[in-house]
Amino acid sequence: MNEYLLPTLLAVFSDPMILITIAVGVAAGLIVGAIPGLTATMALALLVPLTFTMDFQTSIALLMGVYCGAISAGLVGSIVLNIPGTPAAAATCLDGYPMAAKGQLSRALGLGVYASMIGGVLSGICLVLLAPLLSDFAMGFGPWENFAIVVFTFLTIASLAQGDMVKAVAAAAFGVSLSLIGYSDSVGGSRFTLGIADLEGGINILPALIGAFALPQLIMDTDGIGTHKSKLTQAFSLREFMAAFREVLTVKISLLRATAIGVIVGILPGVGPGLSNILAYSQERNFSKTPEKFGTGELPEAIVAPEAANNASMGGALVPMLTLGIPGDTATLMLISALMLHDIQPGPLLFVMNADYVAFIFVTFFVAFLFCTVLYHVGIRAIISVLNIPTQYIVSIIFMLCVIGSYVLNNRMFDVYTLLLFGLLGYGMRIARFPILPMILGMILGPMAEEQLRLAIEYGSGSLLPFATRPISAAILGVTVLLLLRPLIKMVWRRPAVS
Amino acid sequence: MKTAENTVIGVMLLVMIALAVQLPGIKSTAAAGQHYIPNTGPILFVGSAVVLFLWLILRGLSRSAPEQEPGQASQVRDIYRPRRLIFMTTSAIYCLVFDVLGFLTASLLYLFLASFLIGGRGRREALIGLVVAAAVVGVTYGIVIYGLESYLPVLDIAGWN
Repeated sequence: MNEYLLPTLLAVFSDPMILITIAVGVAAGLIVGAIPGLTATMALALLVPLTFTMDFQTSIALLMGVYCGAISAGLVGSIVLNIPGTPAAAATCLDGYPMAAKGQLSRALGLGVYASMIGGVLSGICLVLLAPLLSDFAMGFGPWENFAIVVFTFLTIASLAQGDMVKAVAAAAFGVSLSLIGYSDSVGGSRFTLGIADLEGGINILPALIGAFALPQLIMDTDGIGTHKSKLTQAFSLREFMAAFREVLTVKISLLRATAIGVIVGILPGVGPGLSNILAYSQERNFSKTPEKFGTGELPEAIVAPEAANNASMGGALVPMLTLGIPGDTATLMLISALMLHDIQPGPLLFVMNADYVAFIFVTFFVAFLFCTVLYHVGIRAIISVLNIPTQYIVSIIFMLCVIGSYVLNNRMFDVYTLLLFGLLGYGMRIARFPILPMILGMILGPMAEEQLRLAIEYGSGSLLPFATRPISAAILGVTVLLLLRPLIKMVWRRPAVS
Repeated sequence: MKTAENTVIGVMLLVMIALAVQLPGIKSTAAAGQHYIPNTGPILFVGSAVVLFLWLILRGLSRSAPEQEPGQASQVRDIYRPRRLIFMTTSAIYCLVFDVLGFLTASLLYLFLASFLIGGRGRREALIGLVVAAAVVGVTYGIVIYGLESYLPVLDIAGWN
């Protein structure tokens, strides 16, 4: 695998079109990510269907650029408006905006940007080191382990989801059930089509994905019309911005700690940068000798830690995505869809059959961060000015792009109706506090779950015992049961303390 | 809050029931294997979904339901915000007429009306909205048709009788 890295790096740097594509992706990501309410997931959702006509290299270059740009740009909205551009930058508001409000806008942006870039690059190194190891390990997995991993993923997401665990599991079961609609190899025919001819091929995952994530967010974004106005009046200074680099290096322990948190949280299925950002901030406050100064905009580590962590999650999230085919967060869910659109199935075999593709993903990840750093220096004023675009134009334009993206996949209106239906369902789910991610993950992993279950039963001659007798499968299912019983364990643990 | 939540759970349960009633009709037309019955996966997944949604509905109806979280009441009030309703309605209509009116007409109307109705409604806003709509539709059309070499629906006036 590693033998592909250097040739791929040289190939990327000798191909101006690839470099331009990454730069365009990063620029688009920085713009979308900076605008509050527009997340990296939405940016990728808009782009994935449009990459259908592109070759693998161009589409991945564009998508990796958008992914890296959008996650890192969330800090701009947090610092300038006190509204996170993406959920991944929620904790950055806590000290970023107070620091900017004290007349140190450039310093706050500099701390955030450099921490993001260093965190992202370090997580990329972790990705390059960890992913091949995990892939080698996963090569020995049989259908029992693969099925156990899918079950583990669902329950991890459910147990880590904020709010009701039952709702999260129900949403996952709902998604898996929907994935069964249409033609199935295991049956050799169609199921659950209700007599609708368009359902013969199943529910197209991309319009469903785009609808469920984008439309609810856009509907809710209309609440913010006319409210996103910066109260900061000072001008941006590039010199102050660049001076923040040295300051970031003065808190390198915080930076490394936050990066480690980010990578670990990123690897956990379904959690992503949102949690790592908040977790790194709270851990930094716990370790700090002056925790009372957190929230005042005085401490550099209060911006460095959450920003390093959310970008570090990106490399972490790519590890299970590439090695096991399990997305680490909603944005990597979109990247998986893009790979599937190009008939590439993520998983351990990807590292054997298409090691050059994996190397290309690794390289574009680093190059995207390089372009991110460059574009921040030359274009941060433009990125800040994007925040002034009125929301009423943004939401309607984005929905139009969602419709086009869904339509061009197969040139059929059924996909547009799927987008609308899942959009309304997603909105209803958000109102009813149902997590959307388990449903979509269920739709993506459902066919894999059924196929692995079928193989496990066949290879086990009808017996389910190998799930318990094979050590890795048993260990994964054991951890899954512990996750399920976590609320009960907590209750028992607390009882003696109360008495 | 309860009504909204129960409605959503009810809709999802109905979808699952619609799938569940088709379970007996699943028959294998291929040699799926010696031990695997083609219904196993669907029964497991659809069955567990039905059970979980029934549980959620029963829990919602019972007195032991979890108390309302702070902010939930305001979230329900937000459903009826005029801007949200206008945006949802215009977006739904846009999807429905996309094929009939064609991309150019439908998108131009949608972008202009949606931004005008949910944003400011003065003469200046209308003019800006129209210019933005025309520019965005033109650029998007160019990218999709000439850049991506893809197809978008067109208004077929000749076909209207």
